[in-house]
Amino acid sequence: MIAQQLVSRLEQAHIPLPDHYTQSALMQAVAQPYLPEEFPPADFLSDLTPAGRNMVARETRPAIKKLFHTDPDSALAIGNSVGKLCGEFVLSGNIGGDTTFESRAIPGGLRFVMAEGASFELPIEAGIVVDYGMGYNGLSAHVNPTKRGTYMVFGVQKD
Amino acid sequence: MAVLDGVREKLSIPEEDMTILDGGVKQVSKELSEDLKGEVDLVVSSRVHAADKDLAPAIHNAYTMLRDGGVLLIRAPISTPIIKLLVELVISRCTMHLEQVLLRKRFYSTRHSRLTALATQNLAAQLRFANRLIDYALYRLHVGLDIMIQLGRC
Repeated sequence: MIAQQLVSRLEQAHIPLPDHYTQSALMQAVAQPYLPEEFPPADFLSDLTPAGRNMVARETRPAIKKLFHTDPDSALAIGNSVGKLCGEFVLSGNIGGDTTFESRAIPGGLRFVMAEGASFELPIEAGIVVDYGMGYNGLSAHVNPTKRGTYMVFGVQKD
Repeated sequence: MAVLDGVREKLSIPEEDMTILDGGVKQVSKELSEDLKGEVDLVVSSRVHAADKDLAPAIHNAYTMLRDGGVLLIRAPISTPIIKLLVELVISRCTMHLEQVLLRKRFYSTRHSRLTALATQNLAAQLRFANRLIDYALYRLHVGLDIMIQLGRC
């Protein structure tokens, strides 16, 4: 349903799409102009045919970038839709994990964790995290801790 | 920002738990350092080699934000001169006692190669890896991180 909504918005904005694509390819094709450092070049979209990859590189993505200037509202709406699709991907891939949590209390006390053969004493006391340049990856990394109530996060976007 | 807001909404994370701010790292970090002076537990600063002139003020502002015992996590390619500059910058600008400064050169090349490969080939694995990095930072583990600085008392 989210993918359909995204496709509908793209059609309304006259953004061309390949004839055949998977949901993952659609997400990566459309999200890349918004987050260019985090989504791969069209050549790496292995779900698409060579013609499809070519179309994404030469038509789909340039058309979205053009939309940033010609119709910013539409570009924002598409960005929000593809963001929801990214969120669905995070959930379906079990990245970011639980979608439910029972307590928002910050856990206290000490724990010990093994890493690289050494034992670390771990006071769990995080409450506020600031993430410079937080993108899709950073956001995904913060999903579980924020849902557990371990901390709140301020994600700072680059210029 | 529209994309990240969409992700956050889809994942049902309240805005008060995850605030996405635009306006540039330099300006926003200055504002945050005023509002959250000495309250922040962890500042994550990734891909700092691409930060250019924003780097120095952003790190300076991070120190203002961090509480005693807070952690500044800096990530950059360790093979480039930026790391040396970073260390000098961090130490020269730090007005607080550094409790720990850790460079994990030994692990970095492996991790970096792996991350680069994953970034282009396997998005799901890349995200899981990023997730683990943040967990490590929170728990003061030092695997695969470039520079991790914990502040002590003034």
